Amino acid sequence: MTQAIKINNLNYQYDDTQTLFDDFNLTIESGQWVALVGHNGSGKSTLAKLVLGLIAANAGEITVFGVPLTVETVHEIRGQIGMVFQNPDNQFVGATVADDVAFGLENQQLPSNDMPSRIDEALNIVGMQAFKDREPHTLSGGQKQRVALASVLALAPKIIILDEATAMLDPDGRDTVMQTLQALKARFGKALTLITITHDMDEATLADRVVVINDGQLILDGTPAAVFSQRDLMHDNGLALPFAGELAAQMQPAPANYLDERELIQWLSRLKK
Amino acid sequence: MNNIMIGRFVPGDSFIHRLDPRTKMIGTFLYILVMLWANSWASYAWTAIFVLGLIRLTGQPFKLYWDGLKPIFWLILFTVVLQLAFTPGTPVLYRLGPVVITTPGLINAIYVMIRFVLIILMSTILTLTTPPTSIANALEMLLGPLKKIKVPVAELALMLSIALRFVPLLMDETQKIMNAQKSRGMGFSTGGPVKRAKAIIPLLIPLFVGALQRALDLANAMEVRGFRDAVQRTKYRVLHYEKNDGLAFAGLFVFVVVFVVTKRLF
Amino acid sequence: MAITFEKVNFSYGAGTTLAHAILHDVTVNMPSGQVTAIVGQTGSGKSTLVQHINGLLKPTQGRVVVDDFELTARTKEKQLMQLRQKVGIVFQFPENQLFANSVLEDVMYAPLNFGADKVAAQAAAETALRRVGVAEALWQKSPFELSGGQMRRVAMAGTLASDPSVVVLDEPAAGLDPKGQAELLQLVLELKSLGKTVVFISHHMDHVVAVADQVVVMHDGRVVAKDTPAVLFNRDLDWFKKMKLDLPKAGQFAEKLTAAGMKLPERPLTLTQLATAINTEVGHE
Repeated sequence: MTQAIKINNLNYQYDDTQTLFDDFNLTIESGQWVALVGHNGSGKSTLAKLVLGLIAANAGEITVFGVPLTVETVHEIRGQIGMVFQNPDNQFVGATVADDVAFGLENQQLPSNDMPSRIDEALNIVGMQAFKDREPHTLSGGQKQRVALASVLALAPKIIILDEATAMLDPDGRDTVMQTLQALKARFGKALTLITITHDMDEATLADRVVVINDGQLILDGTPAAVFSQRDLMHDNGLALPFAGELAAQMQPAPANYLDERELIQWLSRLKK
Repeated sequence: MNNIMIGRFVPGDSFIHRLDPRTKMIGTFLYILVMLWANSWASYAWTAIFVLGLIRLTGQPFKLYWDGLKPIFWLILFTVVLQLAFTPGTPVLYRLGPVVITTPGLINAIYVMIRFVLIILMSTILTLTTPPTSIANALEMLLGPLKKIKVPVAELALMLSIALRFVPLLMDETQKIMNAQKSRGMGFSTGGPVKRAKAIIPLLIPLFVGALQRALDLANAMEVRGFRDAVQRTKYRVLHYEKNDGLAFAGLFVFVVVFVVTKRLF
Repeated sequence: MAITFEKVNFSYGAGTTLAHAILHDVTVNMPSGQVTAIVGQTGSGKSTLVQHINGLLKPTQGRVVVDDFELTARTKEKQLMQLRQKVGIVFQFPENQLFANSVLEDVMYAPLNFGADKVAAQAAAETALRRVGVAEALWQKSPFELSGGQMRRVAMAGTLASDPSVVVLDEPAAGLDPKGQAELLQLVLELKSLGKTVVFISHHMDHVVAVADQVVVMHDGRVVAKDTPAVLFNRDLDWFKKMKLDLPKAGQFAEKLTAAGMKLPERPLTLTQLATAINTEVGHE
C-alpha cells in the first residue's frame, strides 16, 4: 500500500519551553479514513498544521506521497491536501458560494472558461448547487462547512483533512456534514485519504482507523473496535466511548467484544429470544 | 444595525442589475461630476428626473432608497443650516442677532440639499444593484493601467473584496460583544473624554483580537487552497460589455447633452 | 428569582421596510431556583427570547417580569442597569468578550460596573474564579495567554462575579470536549444549589436531561411546549421530527431497539435508565 502521510521522529515545541511532540511517529496509508482523536489541547490540530507546513517542526521528517516536506516542496504538497478548518466563517474567502469555490481554482490559474463546470461539480457532490449565488452570511454553519468541503474538492486533492470541522455546528449541521463525508468516501473510495480530527467519538466510529493522541503522545491506534474496547484508557485520556460502547459496559452480562451500535442492537435482540 | 442601507446589495434581474459593473461605476462617476456643475433650477430638475428614471429601472421600491437616505438625514440638515445661516447677500429675509438669512442663502441651501440627496441616491443605485465583489472586480479592471506605474491593483482589489465580505460578520460581532459587555454592566459613558475613551476599551479590544484571529485563520485557509500572491491568478468572473452597456452609454450621452442644453438655455 | 413572559412579541426593525417578527405571543414562566432549558432548532428564537431577560432587547408588545422588575417597550435605558445586576448572561463562545490586561481585572469588570469598590470587586472576582476552577496561578496572566478551555472559564467567571440571581447560559458547551462538557454541567447544578435561577439554551438533549427541571421548546418564534424532561421526552416520535429536535441518545437507542424487536416499557432518558431497562428486560426472559 502507498503511504499517504509518513511522520518520522517529529519534534515540535510551542515555544522554547513547552514540548508538544517528542519523537512522534505516524503513518497513514493511502485510501484510509483515519479519525485523529484527543481532548482539546492534545496536539491533534497542531499535527495537521505541521503536515501542511503552516507551522514548522523543530526536527523530524514528514513525507506526503513520498515527497519530503521542505520549503521547496510545501506548495506541491499543499496541492495534494485539502483542509477544512473549525470555524466556518474564517475560511470563507469568496463573496458568494461560487466565488469561494472558485478561489482555489483561480490560484491554480485554471482558465476562466473551465471554472463553472468544476464549481458545479464540486457543489453537486456536497449538495450545495442550489446555493451557488448565496452570500456566506445567509448560510447556516453546516452549509458553510459543506461549501468549504466543495472548495477543497474542486482542487481534486488526494488527502482531505477536517480539523474539528463539526465542533461549532448544531446537531443538524453536524449530521449533514457527516453524511456528506460518508457520501464522499463512497464516491471516491480508495482514491481519497480522509483524516477527521475530532473529539466526538460517534464521528470517529465512521472511520476505518482511530488514532488517539494525548499531550503529543500516541496512546492508541487501531480499528474503532480495537480502540474502543480500551474503555479505561480512553477515560484516562479525557475521552468517552461512543454511546453504544458506554452502554455495552453496563450490560449484565456485557458482550465479550466491542460492538458498534448496529452490532450491539443485534446482540441485544438475540439475547431476548 | 439592520437598517443600514448604504452599501447593501439587493439581488434582482433589472436592466440596471444586468449592466457591467464598470459601466455602472463610470456612469455614477460621470453623473456626479456633471451634476456638481448644475447651477439652475432647470438643470437640477433634469438631473433629478434622470435619477428617478434610473431608480424606476432598478425595479426596487423607492422605500429602499428612502431608507438609505435616513441615516444621513442629520448630516444633510447640518449642511443646509450652515448654508442658510452663513451665506451673505441681499435681500435679507430674516435676521436674528448674528444669524442672517438671505435669498441667495436660501437658494444655496436648497441646491446643497438636492446635491446631497442626488449623490446618495445615485451611489445607492450602484451598490443596491451590484454585488460588492463585482465592484471590486470592476475597480481592478478600471485601475488596471495603474499597474504600469507599480500600483498593486490586484492586491488592493483582493483586499477590498475580502474586507467587504467580512463587513457583515464584523457588524454582527460588534453587536455580540456589545451585548456581552452591556450584560456585564457597561454603562453609557458619562464624564470627560478620557473616561469615555476608557469606556470603549472593553469593546475595541475584543473586536481587534477577534478580527486578528479571523485574519490569521483566513490566511491559513487561503494558503492551504494554494494562494501565493494576488497577481498570478486567473479570474472566475470575467467582465464583458454587452449590448445593454452600449445602450447605457448612449443614455448617459443623451443625459449629458440635454444637461448642457438645459444649462445654456435656462 | 422568577421570570415571567406575558404575551411577548418582538420584531427587529419594527416600522421599517425590513421589519422582521421573531417572537410571537410568548407566554412562559421560569420558576425561581430551578433550571429551565430552552431548546429548539437554530433560528427558532431562543437567543432572542433570553436577550429579553436582561433587557438587551425590549418586547415590541407585552411584558417580561424578572422578580419585581417589569420590562416593556417603554422601559428606559438607564433603568436597565438595575435589571442587569440581577441577570447575568453567558453568551455563546463567551471567550470573545475578554479584554483586560489580566484575568482578575477582566473578571472584576462587572462588579465594578455595578458599583462595587475595588476591594469588594476583587473579592467577588476571586470567588467567581474559584467557582469555575481557574487556578490562582493564572489570575495575573493576560487572558489571551490562556488555552481555549481556560478562557471559557474566565469568561464565565466574568458573568458570575456580579453574583446575579439569574444566570442565563446560551450554548455554553459549544466546542468543549467531553470532559469540559461534564464540568460545565456540574457548574450548572452547583449554581442551582446556590439558589440561583438558571436558564440554559442547548442543542444537546443529553445535557438538558442532565440538568433541567423543565424544558421550554421553541419553534418559529413560539413556545410550543413546556414540560419536565420526563414528560416531554416521552412524546410521540413524530412530534420531535416536526420540531426538528433530537431525543436524548438513550431515547434514540431505545427507538432503534424497538425497531429491532425489543420494546422497552417507557422511553429512557439517560444511559443508566436505558441500561437498567435493558437488563431488566433481558433478565425477565
